[in-house]
Amino acid sequence: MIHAENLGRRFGDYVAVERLDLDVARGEVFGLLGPNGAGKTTTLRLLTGLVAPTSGSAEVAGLSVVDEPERVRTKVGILTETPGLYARLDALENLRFYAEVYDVKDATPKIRRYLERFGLWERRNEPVGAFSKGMRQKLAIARALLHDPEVVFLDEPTSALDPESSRTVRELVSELRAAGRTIVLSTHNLDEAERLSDRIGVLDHTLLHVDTPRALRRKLYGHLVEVDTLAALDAETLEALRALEGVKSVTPRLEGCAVAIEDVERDVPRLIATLVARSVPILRVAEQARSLEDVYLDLLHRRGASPDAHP
Amino acid sequence: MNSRHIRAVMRREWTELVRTRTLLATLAFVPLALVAISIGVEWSLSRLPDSAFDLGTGEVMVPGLLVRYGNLGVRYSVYALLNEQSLALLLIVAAALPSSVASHAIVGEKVERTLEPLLATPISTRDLLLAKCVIAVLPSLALTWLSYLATLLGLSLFAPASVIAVAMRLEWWLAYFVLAPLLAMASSLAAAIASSRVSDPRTAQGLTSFLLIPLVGTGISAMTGFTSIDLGWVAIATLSLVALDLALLWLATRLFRRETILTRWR
Repeated sequence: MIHAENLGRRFGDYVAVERLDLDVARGEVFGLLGPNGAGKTTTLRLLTGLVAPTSGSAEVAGLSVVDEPERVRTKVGILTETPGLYARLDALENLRFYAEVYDVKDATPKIRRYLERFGLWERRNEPVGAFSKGMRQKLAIARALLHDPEVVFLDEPTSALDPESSRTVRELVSELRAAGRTIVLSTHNLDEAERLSDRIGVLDHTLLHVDTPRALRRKLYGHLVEVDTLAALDAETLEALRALEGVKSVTPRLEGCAVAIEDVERDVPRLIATLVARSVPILRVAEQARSLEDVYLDLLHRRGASPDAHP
Repeated sequence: MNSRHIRAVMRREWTELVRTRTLLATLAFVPLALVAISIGVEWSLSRLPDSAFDLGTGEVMVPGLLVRYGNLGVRYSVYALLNEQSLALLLIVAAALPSSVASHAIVGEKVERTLEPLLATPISTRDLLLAKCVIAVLPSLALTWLSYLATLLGLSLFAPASVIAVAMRLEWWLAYFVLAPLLAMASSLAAAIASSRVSDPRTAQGLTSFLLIPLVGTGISAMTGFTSIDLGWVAIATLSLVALDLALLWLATRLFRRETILTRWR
């Protein structure tokens, strides 16, 4: 549904995005993570035909963003960084306007459905200028979906939303995925990205890594098992553990150790058997959970970027 | 050209405009003031004794006046002259007012951060600009036409039908109902060009004022005697303005840089 090859965009000497290769399948939710200024918004603008690439090419819904940007825009819906609604118009007027511009047939029931879904129906006749930030965000999401786009680009969809509204948005994203819509989600909310995305791309002007959240973690850290014991392990036990097949490293701790292994199901039973054979009193053996945040920060630090490095 | 898109933008722009009362009040102020001044001048003239219009008091201008207005006599020729000058000024208002609305057309949306979602829609640049410019023109034209009628009504209080007939010559009707819309559209498009090339509304307005100088100059020249207004002149002016409007629409579309507007303006 989305195919980008060597996609890049420069603004004078400034390289916003370079050598971006990306494939997103129909019905996939793709999370785009990156620090401020990493080129997330530019990437979304490139893929929605809002700005033209200075190198490479991209196709969205089978249409070239270079040759047919206007047609691309009929196939995509975008939630921009700011809601961008007309403050003097009410919620209904805002959505009706966009329904007309997107040539939505029989828009009224759709508008009503989205307004009810987001709890805005009762306030449909109030000027949007009087809405809270969260209400505007919900209305802007409704606007992005009104014309049933094949590809939806959501830039920080749950920012400014309360937990309940965030949940509504997440449920909506899941429904859209189930309905075969392709979604590109640009976010700083790593928990949300992990929960919603089938795959995640870490962007810092180019895509550093693309994979499922789980695979990203594994790629970066392998499996780390924490072993808690009643007392510190002696040198012989540590050596015995290091000698086990599948064990990559053993780091002693005050009471126990941390063991990096290749495969949990194969290596953990051997680990426990070795400790039991040496009469080590085991309190707990557990795989260490690495959050996506660890992965993300580590990837950026390896590249030498700080999550807040760019203004 | 997508008429549905144009209508949608026009409807939205109009709704927003009528809800911006301060802007409407500001727009109405200048033409209303001109009408009041025009009527005030006619009223002042009506209070002058006939002796003030003796041939001897205005020997330089009187022969010219009598030639221009035929058998109206000196007093009513003066009425007619001053009234025509007011009508000419009102035409300049028709050209100037739309620019104050249109200069906000693009940069205003950028400032209010509504531009990116709008540009992300399939609407074409030409349809967007055309719709915005038409809406900028409508209130100004309505005010100009109302002011024209008000001036005629005011004149009818102090002048005979023969003087009013001068202000209702076919040339004036054509000037108000054919030239004024074309002139207003030209100024609106010029303002839209300025609005899409600068990054804040004040600069857009300043630049627009500069762009209006040739239009206003032509209007003043035409309406104050340097160029005599007749049917031939109106026909030439009409054709010229149609060509100018089309050229400005083409230019506005060409000069509109979606990317620059989205990525460079802050």
